Amino acid sequence: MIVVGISAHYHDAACAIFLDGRLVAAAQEERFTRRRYDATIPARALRACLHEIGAGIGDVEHVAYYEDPVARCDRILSAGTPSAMPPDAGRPLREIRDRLGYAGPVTTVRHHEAHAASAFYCSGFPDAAVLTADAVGEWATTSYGSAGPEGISTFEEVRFPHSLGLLYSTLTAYLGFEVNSDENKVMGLAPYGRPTFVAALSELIHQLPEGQFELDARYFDFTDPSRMYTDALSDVLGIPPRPPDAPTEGAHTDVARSLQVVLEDVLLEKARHLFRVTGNPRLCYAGGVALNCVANARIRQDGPFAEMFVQPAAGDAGGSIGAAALAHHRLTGGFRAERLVDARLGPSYDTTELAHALQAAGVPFSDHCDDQHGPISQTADMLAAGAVVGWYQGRMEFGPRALGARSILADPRDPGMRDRINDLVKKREAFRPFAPSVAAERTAEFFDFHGSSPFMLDTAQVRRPADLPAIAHVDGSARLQTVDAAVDPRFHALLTAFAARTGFPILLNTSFNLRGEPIVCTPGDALASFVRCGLDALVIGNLILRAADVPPFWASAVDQVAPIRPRGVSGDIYSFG
Amino acid sequence: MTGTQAQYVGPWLIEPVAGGAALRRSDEESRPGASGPDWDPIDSIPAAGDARRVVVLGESTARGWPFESFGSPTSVLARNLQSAGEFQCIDLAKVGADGRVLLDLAGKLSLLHPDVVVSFAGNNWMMPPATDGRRMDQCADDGLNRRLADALRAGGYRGLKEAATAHAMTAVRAYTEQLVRLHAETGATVVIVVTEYNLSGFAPPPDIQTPVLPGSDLARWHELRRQAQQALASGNARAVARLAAEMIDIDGGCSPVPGWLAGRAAVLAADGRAARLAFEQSRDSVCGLMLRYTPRVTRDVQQLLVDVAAENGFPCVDLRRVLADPDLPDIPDESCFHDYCHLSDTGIERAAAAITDAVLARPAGSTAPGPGLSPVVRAFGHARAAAHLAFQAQPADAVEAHLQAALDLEPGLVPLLRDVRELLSAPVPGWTDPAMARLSEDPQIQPFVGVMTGNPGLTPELWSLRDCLESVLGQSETVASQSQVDLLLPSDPDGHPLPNWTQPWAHHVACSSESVLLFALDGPRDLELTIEFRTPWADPAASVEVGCNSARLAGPEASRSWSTVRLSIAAAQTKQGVNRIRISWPVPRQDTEAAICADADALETGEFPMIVPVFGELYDARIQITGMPA
Ligand SMILES: [Fe+2]
Repeated sequence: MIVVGISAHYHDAACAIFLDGRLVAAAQEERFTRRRYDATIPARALRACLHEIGAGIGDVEHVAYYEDPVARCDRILSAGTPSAMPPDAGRPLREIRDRLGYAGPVTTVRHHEAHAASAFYCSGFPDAAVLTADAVGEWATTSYGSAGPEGISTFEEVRFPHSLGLLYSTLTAYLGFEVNSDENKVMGLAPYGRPTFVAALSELIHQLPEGQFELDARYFDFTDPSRMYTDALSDVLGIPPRPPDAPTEGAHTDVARSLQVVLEDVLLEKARHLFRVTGNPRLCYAGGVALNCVANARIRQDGPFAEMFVQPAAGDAGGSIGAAALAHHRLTGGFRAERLVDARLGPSYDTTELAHALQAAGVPFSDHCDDQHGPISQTADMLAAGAVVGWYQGRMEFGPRALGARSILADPRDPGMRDRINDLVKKREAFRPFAPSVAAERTAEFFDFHGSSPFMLDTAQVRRPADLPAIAHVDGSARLQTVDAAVDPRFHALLTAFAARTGFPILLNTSFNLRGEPIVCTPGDALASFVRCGLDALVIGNLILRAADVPPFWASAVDQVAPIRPRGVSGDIYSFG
Repeated sequence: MTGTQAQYVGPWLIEPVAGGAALRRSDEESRPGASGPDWDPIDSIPAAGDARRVVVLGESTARGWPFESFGSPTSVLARNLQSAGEFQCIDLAKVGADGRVLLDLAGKLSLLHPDVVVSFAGNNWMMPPATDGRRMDQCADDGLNRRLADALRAGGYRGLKEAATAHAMTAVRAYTEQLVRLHAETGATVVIVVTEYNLSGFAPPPDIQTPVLPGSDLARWHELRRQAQQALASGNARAVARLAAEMIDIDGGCSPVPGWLAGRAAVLAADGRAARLAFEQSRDSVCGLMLRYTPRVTRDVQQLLVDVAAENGFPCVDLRRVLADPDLPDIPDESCFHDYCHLSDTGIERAAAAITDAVLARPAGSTAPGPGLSPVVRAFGHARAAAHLAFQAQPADAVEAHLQAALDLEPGLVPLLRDVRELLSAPVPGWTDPAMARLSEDPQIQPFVGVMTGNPGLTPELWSLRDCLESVLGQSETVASQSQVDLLLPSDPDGHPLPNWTQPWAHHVACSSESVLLFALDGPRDLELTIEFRTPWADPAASVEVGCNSARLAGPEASRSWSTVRLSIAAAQTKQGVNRIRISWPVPRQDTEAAICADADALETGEFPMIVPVFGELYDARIQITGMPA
């Protein structure tokens, strides 16, 4: 039985496919339209995913949509919040029929149910407590419940406008970053600051009994499309909003740090509340706030739960997984308690045509054909020699992180590497750290970490930060990915080969894309990004192409014919629907 | 005037100086629409002094596109006027000027102190609103989408068409009123040029047939079309005219097909008057329907311009007469056109000569048209026309004729055309091909390379250009067959565009009776074709006809739910170069009321309506190569 989950019409649209209860494919629409955070119905993502699993649209037996469109329109209209398009409760079903071409039964799952389900059904737990936190679903912004053989049941929720996601986004806007996108930059800024604004920020959010909290309405205005805060926020913080192009100063990092502290404190208290009510030692956690891996680590370390699971697309894209999983459970009465260990759920592409193109262009490249080891040892040589390498292998990852399928890799020991990649490739703020991937079995040698973090959603202290300056944050932490040989043997082999040369089974791993564009999807996207980035080498499947061999006209050609497309959701204005 | 506030006309700042008004290009880049290649690139124009100032305003045809830099109508007019005294000609034409731009220009003309104003406009007023990809509700005209929705509900697609064209006519009237006011206030002579369309030389593209019609009507319409095509082939003009009239009764005058068939039949019968009427009906039929049609003047616009000229005593240059075909004077001479509405150098010379006579108040025919452009430039024009016509889905013989004409005039164009062929045949991503570097160096070609290489797939039109280039120049050398070919690779970064203005689609939606999917082979090959299709509105007893090149492959039953078929194609049915999978869809029996209702709702919520019926859909279409070269 094929059940498709759809999340769309808000941020970051995506589809997920369950085949007989197992998650077999998932992808975000942005990768195909090349518009970052594209919220349009994921028609191209679905075609690609169905093709990947050898199915057609006619094989789909059920579609589940990740929120209740009527309740959502109701909230947008009654709250008077800005939205990118006029609220239209009929749009999801209409577009599932027309744009996806699907004519069969459709169910809707509530937004936070979809988030909760996305974590639970990928966790492998037989039952669990579930916590969700995001900006806003239909009305809910935070929910508490439990999951098990009976499905998902929610016993408490916090409703709009009281929202941890909106609190974080409001401060993101105040600090001069793009909302719906740069929240992770604020998280990256936090370790540079001191928690001097905790008292001031505590004015913004009032902890209430049980699962509840309240945002203080004096400081927020979600009906103003140009900003989300009132002048009272400047008064309480005592610093003006940072203009987007202004430098980040001490006070800004202090606000970021304080915000992180306030968020973690609220989350910890609410996690304890959830544990008290459910008594379940296992936590499944999802929603946009669960992308804050620093807070995740805090819940793991200081929270009451023995085990915790966060899936790779904890934000709205992942709602598609939850919708499909929950629908499958409801339809069949059963589910597979099977842990998701591999986020490479997107399509893969044949590289033959790219090889033809390189031949036609007379560009030298090495083609290792069926030799698995050749490209790995060559890539490890290049990396050990200081090269920055585009690494494109197999199926694309689902979720915001590159995990070894569409990655830019580099030597984490090089103290100049962070600046080099920031300057040349990412063109992003110097304060943002890069993340390491580590061969799973050797994690504890280098990090104070004992579990697995296959989706780069956890942080840990680096044991000897001075050895790994390119991936250790200012506070000595790193957001790490553990790579298991059984899950991704090729990437694991590369880490191992790098260790053979350097002693470190660790690589700097950042997503394969330029600033402002989605992660690359096809070999053509990868080649375009490679040319634009100025990477030293590109490894696509078994093909290796070196920057020195790239014809000079490619740089201008790629900008002429495949310019970076504007993002799909405005970053200046927070859109609520 | 506000005194201190700067006044602009187009991209130029108006500077009042002794002896009149001078123009200086403004470097204020923030003014939207002011820069870019759409206007005359001239930087400054001095005051006219003792010369008579002639200002030409209009759209791309008046600008001389694509011959702007070789001999625009304004530059030819200036050349013609040289011997008649001192004239200063200003080219205020803008490529893509819409009703708003023209109205704005007309309102500012008095600031330029013109002695003569030549209005050379008429082709863009009927373009659908918001064709720049914005939503309908973001159009400047507030509430238009709601008014159009009401008209659609009340009067069906014909009602929509009438409301939209009536709305467009208000813009034409406002423009002409400005010209009348200018004449009254300044005494400037106003010359009205009535633009013309390449009536017999530009075929309606095959993906626009009719709007949604009741099932039995649509079936009848397609049967009549079949009979009319047959009658046309056998030269029976009277039968074609009768069948076309019946088709128009059914489609409400909203289809370009019957008029086109009747017009061609009338040309064969040398009946110029009937041909003009039929071709005009074909041309005007799509206006006001929110479809992707090319710019065009309509009979109503032409008549309004003639009436305004007559009522106000303005000299009128009616291109319907100026460009007339010597053998069949009711219709224009195809050699005067570059494409649908833009003129060739021959057409520009003829138009400019007639405008010269009007400016100088001489009897028509006093000024002889000049010889036109050099053979090299003319050859280049033919090559561009070939690409442009292919892009507009014109028949292959028309495209090949232009390619051949280009090569006959200038054999030196062979390397350039070979490069275009290479680029269209290059493996994805095509921008890696060395031909890209060579073509990008040519500023004339550079704007087009993105269309050819920026997407995973080619449009059917570009496939057709490749095919035509291969038949004129020989096969491309770079083809390497893939073991599997996705026939539905999108030719637009957002997906597959439909002939309407809805957002492109992820899968293939056929809005006409035939879908053609193209692919290339390095030689004859055994293939397996897999398609996943549905015919959501077809009679279940009907069948879908699938063929490869000229061979019929199979006729699977129509299916309202998705159905997958796998078909073998023998190597003998394939060939080296471009191959075609043809899918003929049964006529849909779509619920017209529901379609109108959905389209009106779409308009109301600010989205674009479908307008056209859905014959069939392809979710997937792939070729697998199963055999080695035969
Ligand atoms: Fe959410």
